[in-house]
Amino acid sequence: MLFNSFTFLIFFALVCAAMALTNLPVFSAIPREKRLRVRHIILLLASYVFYGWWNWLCCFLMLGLTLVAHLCALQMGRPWRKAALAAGVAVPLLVLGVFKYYNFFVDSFCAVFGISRAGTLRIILPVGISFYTFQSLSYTIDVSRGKLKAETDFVKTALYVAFFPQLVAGPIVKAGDFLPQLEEDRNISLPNLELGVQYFVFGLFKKVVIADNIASFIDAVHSAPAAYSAGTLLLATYAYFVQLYCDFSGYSDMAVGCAKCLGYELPRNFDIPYISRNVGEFWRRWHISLSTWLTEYLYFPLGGSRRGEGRTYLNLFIIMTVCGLWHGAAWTFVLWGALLGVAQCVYRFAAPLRKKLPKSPLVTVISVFFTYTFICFSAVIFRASSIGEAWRIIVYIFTLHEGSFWGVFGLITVWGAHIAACIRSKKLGVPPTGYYPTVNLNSFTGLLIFFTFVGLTLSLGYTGQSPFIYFQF
Amino acid sequence: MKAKAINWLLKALLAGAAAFVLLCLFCALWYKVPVHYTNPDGATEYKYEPNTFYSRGVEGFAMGRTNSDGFPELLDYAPGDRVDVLLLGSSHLEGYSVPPEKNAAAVLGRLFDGEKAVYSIAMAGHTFPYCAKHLEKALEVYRPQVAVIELASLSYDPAAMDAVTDGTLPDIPSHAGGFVTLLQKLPFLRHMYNKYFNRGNDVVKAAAVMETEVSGADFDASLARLLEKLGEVSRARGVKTILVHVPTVVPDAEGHAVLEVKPGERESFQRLSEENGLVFLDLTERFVSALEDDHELLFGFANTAPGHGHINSRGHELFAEAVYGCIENGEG
Repeated sequence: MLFNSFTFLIFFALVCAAMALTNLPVFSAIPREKRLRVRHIILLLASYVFYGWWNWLCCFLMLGLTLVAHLCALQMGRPWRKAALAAGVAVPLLVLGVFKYYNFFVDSFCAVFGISRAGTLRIILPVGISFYTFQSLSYTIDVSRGKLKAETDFVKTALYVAFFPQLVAGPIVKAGDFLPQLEEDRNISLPNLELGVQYFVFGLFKKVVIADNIASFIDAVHSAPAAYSAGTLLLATYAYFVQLYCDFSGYSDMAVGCAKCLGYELPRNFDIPYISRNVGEFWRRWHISLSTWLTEYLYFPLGGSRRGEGRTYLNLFIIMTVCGLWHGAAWTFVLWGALLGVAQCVYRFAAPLRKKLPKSPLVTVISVFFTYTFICFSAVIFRASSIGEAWRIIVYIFTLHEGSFWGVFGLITVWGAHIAACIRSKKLGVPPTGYYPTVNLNSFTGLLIFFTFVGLTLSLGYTGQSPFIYFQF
Repeated sequence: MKAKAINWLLKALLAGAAAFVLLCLFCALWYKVPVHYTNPDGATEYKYEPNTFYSRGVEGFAMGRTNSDGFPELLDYAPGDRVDVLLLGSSHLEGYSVPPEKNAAAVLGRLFDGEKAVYSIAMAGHTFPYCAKHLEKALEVYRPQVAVIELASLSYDPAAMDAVTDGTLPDIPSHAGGFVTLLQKLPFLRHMYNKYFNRGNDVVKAAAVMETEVSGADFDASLARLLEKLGEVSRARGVKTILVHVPTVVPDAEGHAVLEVKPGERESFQRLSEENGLVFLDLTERFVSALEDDHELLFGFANTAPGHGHINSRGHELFAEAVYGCIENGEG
């Protein structure tokens, strides 16, 4: 079930009601550990219902991966810890590889060697598999590194992997950030609801009003690029990145909001990425949980920047290409990732030149503009269904009416929000960082603003088919 | 604690009411559709409240006022007023996504430059079978010299066409009267209802049932009977009836036009129209040329998917030019 659906609203209301029941005086008499366990079981069951709503068979897959992670982590103190670690890493990667990449590699192999299509599997791609396999991987690896004690309670491990607010499209939460929260007496409360509901509605606005309305424009243009003028294609290029940002960050905000309502904190996944001055900074502000995961579990083990310049460039290229491949089993994603890897390498290589540039607002603005434009153009590859389509769009941009109200609205709104965040950060004397615009729901004005915002979201929201873009990853 | 909760609830209720007012004001400019009533004179299934402001920002941007006759027409109409060219059709020709001065009726009126009075009674949901159902009454009420019927599709269900011929085509209901009418006058409420609770609304259902996958002998036979009836009605009133096919033309990846017409349908309409003294004006070549040669998209708007949806102001202009040429010079 999608976050932006009545089904989910009913489901979430029921979960909140069940959790609120555990606040009743009758539960206070129960020992703390048992009380927490009841809450964890409620959330775990709710999470499996949530996941099973798409396809109940996928629940078994997730349960299996959770069991592997749980059992392997428990073996870390034993003599066979290396075998356990190998199993804890290999099994999730194998599952991900089979479900997500097997057909892609078989098709590519056949295409290269001119073999007729054979040997592909007819399997569905389970929603969110890229996210929860990475979570189970991080848990096993963190335990093996001694960063975390192995969790003996399977319910807690299972809840960490399956926690429904972040299950199908992130953020990718590290076990060290989530498991300690399960030890605390966290639950629904009015302050949590006040903030959580506002985060949720804020994310919903980004998703259904901005992202989904832009999508109809983008889809039309991408399906027939030759029919549109260069200006329209250029607008579509910039607007797609707005769509992607609002779709994904909107979902993340809704996930954070849901978790907040239930009393749990999820990490922020985006931090005003438009203002990035370079690709490196972009990846510190965009899909933060994924870039952090790849840095910690891939970049550093490869040596990071500690094995010479040449190796550093290679590591950067590898990590970005893997990032591209993580997004999808298609050469467009691989090419996109590789392109970003090259950009990172070029940025690093140009360090001596960069040091000579004056530190001025003009240089900052130019850097931001070029980074933003580069990211938008690379997103053309990300969005296209084939490399040929992506190339065609880029060529057409530079070679001829139909504007897009939502494209322009989205650009203005998102850039406006970014600028507002920068101004606020400057006033607070902190580095530029985003924030959630919340109001005081105990005041009449706050309630009026909130209700009007909810009404505007409902009025302007797109009501066609609009899955979250990152569900496909 | 209890007092605090009651205090908060009161604040929330007041804030909710105030927000509702603000949202109604917003929707008055964004989406305000007049209530529609069953048309007492039978020229159409229904028409809107007369002299009522309307706005639409969900597909295109258009604002206007329904005329004294209850249609989104620039010109007022009183019984007995002269009408030379009468336009009938669906939401495409109604042009509710297009400013009223840019819809086909207004453009056609300017092309005739006062020589002929053009009047449109096109309404959403009035696909060809419904226009055919009401043609006789429409000619009786408005007494035009020329009747123009818009056909956005040529794929009509033989059963539906037979129902028109037999006089058994079901009505499109109008839900007007009493408290329901009052609720419909609250723009935000109407907008929410149409958006979230009435997506299978009667008008859409009526239009949808017209489309068919059936073609061939059954289709030709039913179409022949229907066009024979239209021919008789037109001859009885001395009216020239023009059936205008407005094809759905979408661009493919290479910018070429893709048509959604089944083989043989255009030919059947052409042949059977000629046999029954009707004019079949097919805009396919014009629309394809506009897309492929002039790179003009005749469907879609800046706030929806360009190239898809209802015809836009350029589409209306092309429609009007083609009809003008057909009436004045016999072009087809």
